[in-house]
Amino acid sequence: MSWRSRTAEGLTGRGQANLIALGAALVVLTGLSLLAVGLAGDAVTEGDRKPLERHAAVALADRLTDADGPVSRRPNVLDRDALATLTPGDIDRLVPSLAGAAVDVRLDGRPVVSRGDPVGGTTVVRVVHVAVSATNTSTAPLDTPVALPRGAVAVRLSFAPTPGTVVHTVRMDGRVALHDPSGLAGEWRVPVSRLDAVTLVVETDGGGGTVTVRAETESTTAARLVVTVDA
Amino acid sequence: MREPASLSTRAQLSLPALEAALAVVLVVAVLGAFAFDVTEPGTTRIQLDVLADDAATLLADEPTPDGGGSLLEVATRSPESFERHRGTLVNRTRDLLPGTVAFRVETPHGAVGYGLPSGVPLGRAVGTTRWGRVVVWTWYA
Repeated sequence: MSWRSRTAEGLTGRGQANLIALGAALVVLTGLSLLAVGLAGDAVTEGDRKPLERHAAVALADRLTDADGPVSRRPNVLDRDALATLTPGDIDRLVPSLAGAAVDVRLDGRPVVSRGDPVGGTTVVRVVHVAVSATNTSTAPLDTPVALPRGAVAVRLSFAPTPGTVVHTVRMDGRVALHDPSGLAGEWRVPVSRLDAVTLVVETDGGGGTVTVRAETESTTAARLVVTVDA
Repeated sequence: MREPASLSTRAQLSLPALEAALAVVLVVAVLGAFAFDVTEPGTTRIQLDVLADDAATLLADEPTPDGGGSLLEVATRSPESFERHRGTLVNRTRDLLPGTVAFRVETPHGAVGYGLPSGVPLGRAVGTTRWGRVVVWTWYA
């Protein structure tokens, strides 16, 4: 009867100590396992939720800075006046999955549009240019070249030649922009490259007069667009 | 010389304690793997890529002091043009990116910015002009 002798031996000391240790170990292990499963479950749930939230934040930032965005002029160039008109409804139209979610869009710290309080949400930072338009008017004699102001995106030209003078050609940096042998009358709009320094030359049949140049200029400043989403 | 009694007492106490400690370490390791690995697969990389892309886009939209095209164009046009606009290129890129982000801009004629670090997440974007490719790298300094 070996089991009986073992039991008898165990009861005297070693067996008891091991049993208590085993019991304690089981209790500790069970507790830790429950804790681990609980935390892992939370982590997996969070892991499922975070990518969706991040995707929504990235998508919203993308669509706001896209060339076809509601407030953009070109890729990554936002119109300052249009930014002021942005509403939470526009956000839902851009990213339908954000309907009802807490969203905050800031430009260099100033709120642009927000809904709810997205604490602990996902944040995406974009770098953008904020563009402001202005008009710059100047009048010059017809026979002198005119340097267009920096940042001009288009010019509106109207000619006031002396009677009998025919304005037939306008050149921008040597390239013919407007031409009419019988005379350019009225106002003409010519788009120009914002990035180039352009000189405008008016060619006439020799007479005097003036040209009024109304340049539509655009100035840009760098800013950071911070989009926070708590979906 | 050791007494047999003290030897046996020590062995009795340490083994279960050791086992318990090992079990705790094992369970905590499994827990840690779940808790810290699942949630963060590359948010940093996405953000850095986006910032590099924005910088490349905006450098192509940035006028130069002498008005000969965008900053990206003049930096790629010729070695002389690159040298002349090198300072502007660094300053404009620094103005664009947040202060915590370091950068490197590589053009066919040379690079500006900091040396590329190893072992950190890097964001990368390519801008193209008619004279060549410009690679913008970003990382958290």
